[in-house]
Amino acid sequence: MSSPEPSEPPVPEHPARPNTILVVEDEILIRLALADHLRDAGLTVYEAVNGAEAVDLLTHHGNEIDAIFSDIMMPGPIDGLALLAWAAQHYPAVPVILTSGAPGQSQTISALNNAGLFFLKPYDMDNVAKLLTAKAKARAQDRDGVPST
Amino acid sequence: MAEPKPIRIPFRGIKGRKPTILVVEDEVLLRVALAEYLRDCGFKVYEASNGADAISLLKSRKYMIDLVLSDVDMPDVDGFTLAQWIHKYRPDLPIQLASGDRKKSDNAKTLCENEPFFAKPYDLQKVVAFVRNAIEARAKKKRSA
Repeated sequence: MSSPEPSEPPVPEHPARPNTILVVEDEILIRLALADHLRDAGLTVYEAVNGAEAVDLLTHHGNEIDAIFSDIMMPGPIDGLALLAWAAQHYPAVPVILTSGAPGQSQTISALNNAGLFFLKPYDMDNVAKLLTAKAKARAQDRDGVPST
Repeated sequence: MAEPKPIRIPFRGIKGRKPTILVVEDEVLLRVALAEYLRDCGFKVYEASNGADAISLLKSRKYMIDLVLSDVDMPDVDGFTLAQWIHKYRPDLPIQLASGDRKKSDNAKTLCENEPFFAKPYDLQKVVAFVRNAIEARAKKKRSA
């Protein structure tokens, strides 16, 4: 007796897609090392070199981005804190994690730090990858209702 | 315009790692689209937004790069200056320039002797075909040296 043909797996209504992180960092060697590390961890990474580029990418690819990791001190009119405020207004469901080598005494940074959403430079890239992966997966599941890859 | 489907073809000549391209482009949407397409085609891609960052990366010597693909018009250190730096300090590293300005094409031919030149907007399939051939030709040259 021949065995029955295996049935095809059901096609999900929203196919899973890679978790996507926007990394915003003006120092190329830092950005490149982190972006490489995150890609090796299985994440898709978009790179922006300042806040203006990040806003441009979010405006055109905002629905693909699951989490933002941004330096605070960057040249140009949009630093990390301004990007945080912009993203909170336009993409309130996308988590923003900030980093800096000299964060100062800002209440916003204290609040982010208490919430585990701030990394002091130099940071451990494994820890950054773990947090971003968790945040991105949670965000993707909230949005699509299916686990992401 | 719809992006062409990425084509993955195994490379000849580079063992143990992906062929690596440094993309230098100041327009973030073009840079990200090109870089992602090249990654989907099997390349490792580093991104720089201007010539100065590209030179910093090349000076660090920490990253193995097989080819540089650069826009011409960028603030501060432009593509021509980057090409001249590479010819002087990394003479065996191929660089490919691109511009949306046809006049710049003539300048590129003058400044970058024997260098091919891409007109923008990027034809992604043409870019991939070119970088594939350039990287394989370089690997072959290294093997026979």
